[in-house]
Formats: sequence, structure tokens, C-alpha cells
Amino acid sequence: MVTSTDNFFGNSLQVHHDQVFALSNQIEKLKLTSYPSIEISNFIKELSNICGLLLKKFEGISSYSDIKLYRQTFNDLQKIVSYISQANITQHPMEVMVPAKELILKFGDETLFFTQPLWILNYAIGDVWSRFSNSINKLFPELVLDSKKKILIQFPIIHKDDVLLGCVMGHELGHYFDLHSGLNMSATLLPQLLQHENINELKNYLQLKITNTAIQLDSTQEDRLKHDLLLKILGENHLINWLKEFIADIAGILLYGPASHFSGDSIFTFSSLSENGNLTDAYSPTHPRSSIRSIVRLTTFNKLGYEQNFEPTIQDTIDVSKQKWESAQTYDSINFIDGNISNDLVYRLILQKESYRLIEEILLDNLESIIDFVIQKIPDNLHYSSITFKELVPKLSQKISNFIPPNELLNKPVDSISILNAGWHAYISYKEKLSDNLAENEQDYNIREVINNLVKKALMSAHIHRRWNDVSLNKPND
Amino acid sequence: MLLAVDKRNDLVTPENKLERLYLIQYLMEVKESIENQTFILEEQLNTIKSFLKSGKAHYEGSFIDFPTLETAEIFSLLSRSLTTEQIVKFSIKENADYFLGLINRINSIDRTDKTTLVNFISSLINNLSVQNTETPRNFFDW
Repeated sequence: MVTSTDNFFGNSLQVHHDQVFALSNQIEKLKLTSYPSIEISNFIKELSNICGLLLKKFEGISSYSDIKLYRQTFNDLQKIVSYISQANITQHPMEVMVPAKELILKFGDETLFFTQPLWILNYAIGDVWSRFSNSINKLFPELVLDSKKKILIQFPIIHKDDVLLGCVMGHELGHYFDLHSGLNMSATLLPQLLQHENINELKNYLQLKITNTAIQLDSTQEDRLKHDLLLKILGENHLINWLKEFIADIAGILLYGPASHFSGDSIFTFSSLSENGNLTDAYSPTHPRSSIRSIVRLTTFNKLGYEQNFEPTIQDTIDVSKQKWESAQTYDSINFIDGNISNDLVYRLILQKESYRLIEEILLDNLESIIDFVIQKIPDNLHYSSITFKELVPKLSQKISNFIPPNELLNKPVDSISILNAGWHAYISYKEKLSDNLAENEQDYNIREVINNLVKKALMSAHIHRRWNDVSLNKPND
Repeated sequence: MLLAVDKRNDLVTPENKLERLYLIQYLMEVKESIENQTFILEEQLNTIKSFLKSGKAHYEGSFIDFPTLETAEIFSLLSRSLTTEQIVKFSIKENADYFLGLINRINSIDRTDKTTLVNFISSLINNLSVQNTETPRNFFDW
């Protein structure tokens, strides 16, 4: 084993010390910025403390294996700092985050959300802290860390003020509840899905090649080996990835109602339109085809009783979406997943139209039970009901059509999800009315922007109103 | 993420290399204790047992959580850590059962079983050290 006696150790240590020092300087700069909540400032102080301890470590450790351990800690820390470096108040999508935070709070999770704007059309979510802090606890037991989860939400910066498109957050929260809340929905469902009979048929698309002539496989062994390999391949690739998206889509509708559908569909359509007006679709290792996801959303609507609750204009928009995805043209492609067992055997799963269909069928055959499972796992008090939609949303939408923020009904603050749905309802139903009623000197305003502004005002006002009511209710008796 | 482009990612999955390093440390300590016939901490044995049980359950269609790794990854690690002979002769579940049996009677296993177990743990350590990357392309004439 190489130890601190070799000639390069001092230099190696210095190199690492310099890197940590450079990061420490950057963290100090981040401390001077304003953030949407004091908790983010506190989190940055916590990162600064970890960096300080790392710096000290690189002044006195004595083996290369320790350098490796602390260097990995540094790499992870730097990644978190990069995530939080743009979480400042000016780039934070304040209103988009209001409903998301309310839902997490209702769930009972103590979570710090922070955002990172991106210049690509991409939403992403993840817990960047729990795993790292577990390791830090072992590394620096003297440090008392905040145990709250730290959830990063990456969002397209061009959507910062488009709260209607921000309803994609319903889908992202679906990932949160699946992967970061302890509900483990996709992990629980995956082994069951792998028992599906299509695994047998997929064996026809898995090729084995023995490269060691000493090995002979009889038909039973080959069959079992193919089965085991398929469990491995599908559990690491398409099936699990697509299942996670199914769950997030279902949860999106469950938490955000039709607004989740409209925002998702809007982005899918933007990305998929071809020159001839058709929608194009593609198989991706990470996401199911958009046309399949349309089925997922519509089946969820039916399960949740929305079918009978849409007004004709809204139903028409949903039907158009359904039809355009039904006629979408899928780009056929052939892909391979290759692997090997030692140097003795190589395998290849051929992914083409028929094998993709078999994988999709595993999910679609289980769609009803996946929806039931998600509905049952996510607590009832977080569900947005079709009855609430029917009772509140048309009335709130009418307010928007008269340029009134939809924050209250009968002097009571409205819930955030109904406000978002009212925004979409108005955008679909009253675009022309709003446009006709704009004053002459306001014709430059974009109707989308008008609705977004009214919805944003309503989200903040209703949020403050609810907080005020809560304070009044909890006020001690004089 | 929602885009209809080929390479998409809407999950921020932070690196778990540090956790892997700790898991590797556990496994190395267990391996060395078996080799040197020294005392093995109950906690370390339980870690391996939970790992194997989680992989076995995955095969059987049920879910047993293992805190630091996804169960699909555990199953994959198992499949990659078995020898060709093991994987050809028995299912991954049967292999997991076999190693669980060995660990349950760790103090009374014979030399051959001890070697098999040590080799398996070494292989697990190697595979854990390699981050799960894209599968390598086999440039064979299929």
C-alpha cells in the first residue's frame, strides 16, 4: 500500500487543498446573495461548514485512501454548490412553487426546495442531500446537520413566469412522491411487472453468444438464463424508466388535476410537431412514447371521475389531444442493449417495434392497477377531486374572463390547484373574450401573459389569505 | 422531463459514490474476516444478508428495500458477480439462497464454501467499484 512516505504525497495533498480552497471562496460569494427563504441561506452556511472541515482534513490526512474518500466528498459537495448557485430570489419561480410547497407540507415532509433555471426545455427533480448527508455524518460526526430533505427542481428559465406551463410541477411532484418521500412506488411495482408473461416472449429478442467453447447450454439452461438476463436488463433500463414516468403522470393528474394534462400536452406537442402537421413519436430509453402517455393521462381522468365533469369546450380540447396522439407517427428504430457474462458469454437484447410493443404491453396491461396503487399510496388529503374541479373551476375561470384574479369565492380563499386549473380553463374557454375586451391601449398585451399574471396574483393572494386565516384560527383567546 | 427527444432525463440522481465506498468498506471487512477467520460484526453480516434478500425478493416479484441501492441494481450486481458456471447452473434466486445459507452458518462452513463466498464478495466489491455505465457494445457478428 502506498503511504505518506512516498515523495508525491505532500504535493498530492496540496493539490487537493487548493481545489477545496477555491470552492470555499465560491461558497463565500454565494453567502452574499438574497434567496427566497432564509432556509436556503442556512443551507449555504451548512455547505460552507462542510467545506471548512474538508479544508482542514486536507491539511493533515496521511494516506491516499483518505485522499480518495475526501476527494469524493469534495466532488459531491461541488455538485450541490453548483445546483444551488442560481437559487437566488431573482431567478426563483415564486408562484410556480407555491402549490408544490403546500402539497409537500400537507404530506408532512420537512423539505427545502430550491430551484435551478436551465436554458433547455427540461424539468427535473431530485433529492440532492439525503445520501450525501448520511455519508457526511459518518465522515464528520462532530457536525450536526439539518435533516430536512433538500430537493432540487430544475426548470426551463423561459417558463419562469409562465405559471400555466409550470403545472408540469404536478408530474415532477409525482417523481418526488415516488422516489424521495419513502413511498417507493416504482420500486414496489417493478418486481411484480417483471412477472408478466411477455418476459417469455421477449426471450425471442434476446440473443446469446457463447465465446468460451468449453461451455455448453442445454435448452432449459438457456431459457432460464434468458429469463434472468431479461429481469436484469428491463429492471435497469426501459421498463423501470417508463414505469417511473407512468407513476409521475398519474400522480400529476391526481395532485394537479387537468392542469397537469394541459401543461404536459402543450410541451409534448411543441416538441413533436412535424412539417406535415402530424405529431411524431419516438421510443426513448428514459421515457415512454408520448402517445402511450396520453393513454395514461386519459385513463387516469376516467378513474378519477373527470369524464362526466368537463364542459364541452374543455372536453373538446382533451379529445383533440387524444386524437392527435392516436394518429401520431412513431419513428421506428432498432436499438440494442448489449452485455456480457465474464468472458464466456455475450448477450444482446434487440429493441425494435415488436419488442418495444411487448415492453409497453407489460405496463399497459397493468395500467389500471398502477393507477389504483398510486391513488392508494398518495394520501387522500393531497388528491385534487373532479368534484372540486366541477364546482369551483368554471366560476373562477369566469372571474379571469373579467380580468379579476381568481383568488377567492364567497370571501374564502381558493385552493392553489383550483386557481391553476381556472387559468387553463380560461385560456381554453375565454381567450377571445379576453382579447376582445382589452382596452385599445392594451392591445400589445399577450392574452397568455394576462392570464398568467392574474393566476400568479391569485396564487399569492390566496396563499396569504389562507395563512392569515390559519393565524386567526390559532390565535390564543384573550 | 417531458421532451420528445431521444436522450431525456427528468430525474436528478446525485452520485452515490460515497455510499458505495462505505458499502465496499463493509464488504472488504467481511471478506478479510472470513479469510482470516476473525470475528465478523453482526451489523456487517446483516448488511450482506439484507442485500441478498432484497435481490432474491426482486426475482420473486416482491420488494424488500435496501437503503443504499435500488433493488434492480442489487439484482444486476448479483448477476454480474456470479461466475459463469454459477449463473448457468442455477437461477440468480437459487444462487442468492445458496450464499444466504453460507452466511447463516458462517462459522461452520468448509474451505471450499469459504473460497466460493470470498470470491463472490470480491466480485461484488469489484462490480460496486465500477459505476453503472452504459452497457458496452458487443461488436460481434450477430
